[in-house]
Amino acid sequence: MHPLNLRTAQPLLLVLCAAAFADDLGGTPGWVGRLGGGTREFALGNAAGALEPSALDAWWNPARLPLRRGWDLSVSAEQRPLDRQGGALGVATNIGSRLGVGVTMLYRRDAEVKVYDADESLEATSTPYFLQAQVALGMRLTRTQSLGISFGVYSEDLDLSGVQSFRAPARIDLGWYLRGPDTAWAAAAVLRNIGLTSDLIAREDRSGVSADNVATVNEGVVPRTLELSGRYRVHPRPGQSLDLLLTPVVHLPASDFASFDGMETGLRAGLEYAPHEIWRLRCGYEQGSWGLGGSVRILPWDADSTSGSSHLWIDYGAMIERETGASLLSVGLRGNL
Amino acid sequence: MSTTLPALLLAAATGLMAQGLPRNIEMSLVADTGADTSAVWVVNSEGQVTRIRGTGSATTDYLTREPGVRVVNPAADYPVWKGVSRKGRLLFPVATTDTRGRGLLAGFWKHAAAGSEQIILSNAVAGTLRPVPDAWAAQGDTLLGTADSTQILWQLDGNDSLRALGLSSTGALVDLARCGACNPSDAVAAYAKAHAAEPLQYLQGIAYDSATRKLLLAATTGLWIGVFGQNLSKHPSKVLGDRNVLGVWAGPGGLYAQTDSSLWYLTAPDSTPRQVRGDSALVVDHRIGALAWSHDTAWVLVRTASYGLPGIVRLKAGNVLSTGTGTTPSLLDAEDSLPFSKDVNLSDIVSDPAGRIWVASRGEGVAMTADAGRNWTLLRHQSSLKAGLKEVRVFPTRLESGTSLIGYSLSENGNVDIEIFNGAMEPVRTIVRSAPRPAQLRSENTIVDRWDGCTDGGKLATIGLYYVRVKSGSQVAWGKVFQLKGGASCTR
Repeated sequence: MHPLNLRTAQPLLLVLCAAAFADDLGGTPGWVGRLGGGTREFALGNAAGALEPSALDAWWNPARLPLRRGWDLSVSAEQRPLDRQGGALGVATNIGSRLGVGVTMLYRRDAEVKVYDADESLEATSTPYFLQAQVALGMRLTRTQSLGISFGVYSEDLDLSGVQSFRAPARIDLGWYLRGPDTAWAAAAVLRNIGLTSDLIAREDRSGVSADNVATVNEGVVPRTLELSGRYRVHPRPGQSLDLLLTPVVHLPASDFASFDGMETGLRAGLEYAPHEIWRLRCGYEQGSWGLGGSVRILPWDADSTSGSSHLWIDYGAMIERETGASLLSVGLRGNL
Repeated sequence: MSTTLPALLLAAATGLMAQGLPRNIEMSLVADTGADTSAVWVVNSEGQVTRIRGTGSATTDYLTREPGVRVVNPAADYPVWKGVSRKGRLLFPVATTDTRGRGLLAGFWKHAAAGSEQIILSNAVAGTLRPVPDAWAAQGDTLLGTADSTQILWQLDGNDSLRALGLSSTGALVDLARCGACNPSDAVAAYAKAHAAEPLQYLQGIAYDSATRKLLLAATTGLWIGVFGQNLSKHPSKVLGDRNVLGVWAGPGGLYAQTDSSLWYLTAPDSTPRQVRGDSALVVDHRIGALAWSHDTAWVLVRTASYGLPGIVRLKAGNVLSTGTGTTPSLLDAEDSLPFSKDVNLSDIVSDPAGRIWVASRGEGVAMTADAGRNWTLLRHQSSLKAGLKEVRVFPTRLESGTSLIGYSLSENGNVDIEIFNGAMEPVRTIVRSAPRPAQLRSENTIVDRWDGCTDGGKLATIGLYYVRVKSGSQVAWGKVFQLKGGASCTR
């Protein structure tokens, strides 16, 4: 472990993570993407998504898809304050030694939103939900480098009478992954939300209903987002590892390809400690929110089993969310067959 | 305990106060003619009838309790009938529908004192609600008419007897009722539908000038003037040529008629029409909803005034109304000059005998001014909330136009921060920062915190669910709102 690294990074984290968005970046598809999915990623402040192997690679980084053997499965659920709920489901596998495919689904919903009319009378209750599906393909270029592409579509239903559900045309994410020859370090880049339009902008026109029952259109752009991730691994003792993860994020809510106005930045940081073959401890930080969590391997329980065999982990995570000041819980199950 | 008890008492008082005000739905206003000359009756489309004093206090609150009887016109966009007040009594028409969905006049709801409310001229007269005459039904006509043509004109006829004229759905004039002392024995008078007389068909409005006893009929073929009580179908005179007269209104300051492109002022005694100066910017394509008079000023409520906003146009008699020199009529638009949002639907306007002007809106309460529009007091129904910042209610929760109000209750005076967040708790908009707010905010009915759907970056937030956080000291409460407004840009 290098304590100096943490001491240096902390002020930088505080400064960068204090940044607040001036705009609503991409509406629900935008913020659902920034929340991501997976209990392990949740506890790591979403810093590890593009770097660590996961059944959710179709979402986090399709370039990681070929870097596995067998089938990876992951399912997780989380409960946030204000009745916000979410979950993620992922499956990924390799095809031969050079290709990999995966499917990820992200789910968000709000339970029982009370809808009042202009007279403050309770009109209805609504349970809006959002479902994002991602299908991805990854290809290994060299022993240490790979690329991936994923296609995403979503469906959102606000569960309000007179308001239609929203579906967007597919968007594309591109991923790149590189690991060092000694596995001490790894790097990744993911470019998200590339629209299937001539200028590659993911436009989103949503139909609404005015008070006069007239259809209106709400125009928006799901911002292109560049996530650059880096991981450095040290071994404090034989058989133990400590991963330091950093992911600067750049959002470009531009309405044309060459425009860079309104750029927003963020930072994710995480620390994962493997004190034992069957235990993991982790913490993370993103946009002022702190995460904490861990994992325990339940199959095989025998600590001497090699990591290459089939395994099943239970993940748990908690987070202190900056704005609500409340703790969030997430549990998940992931494994490899 | 010392602070909790007053807070509870305040919350209880707030709740009682809130129940005394009319619910903020479609409303019409009637100036009270009783001893208190600074009060109005507010009738809403739920049948709730409330009397509000000029101080803002609501002292009575009634609901029509006849099963199946409503105060709304089932076929109208402007559904609340206009009532009439005479010597402290309030009367307004009530309606029902028949099995085929046609509007029926059920009778008149009368209030003289608390507990004395009654429906007259309905069941008490004939045992059943008065049906649409068969001959009318065969032609698809209904008594209560359609949105634009439905009006009921009230007038006292002779010795304090009440008379009501109405327009059927094809614009025919109907003598609805004569009500001497409002005794149930006064049956509904004969109908006088005049199909044979071309001028009296397709009427679009009626008005009565009490000074001259002249009845004005706005028709698609011109403005017709007759004398109330005579056979109107045979002896009206025609003015304004063949213009399409959209409506006509009467008041102590004179008579007004609106045509497709102009507003006209008719002066006694010859009822010569004069064109209101500067009217083209005010009334072209903008339908007048109601008029009120205060001293020498006519207050014209327009659904959408110039610049596309609803508002009120003030016309000074003897100034802009003259055919000579004059100034441009002053406009009070909903956003800048009235305590409403810019997209509000204005329902009614009335002046009370004390000279106050009252404006009813749809969904945003009743506004009152006692100083000719310089200052307004907004009165609106508020549901009680948990005291002590334990609840935030954003209404309407469906933000489809205008703004949504952010309602909350503080246990004591304090500064509040209000912010809007998306589902990832990313800040979208700061509404206020350290803004002083009184503990009795809701009891004063002056909620000032609103969200217009815009972000801090000046864009309209994407359609979706958003979260509203209200912080005061260490207290925090959250509400939710659906942003459903269309468009990309935001004008603030």
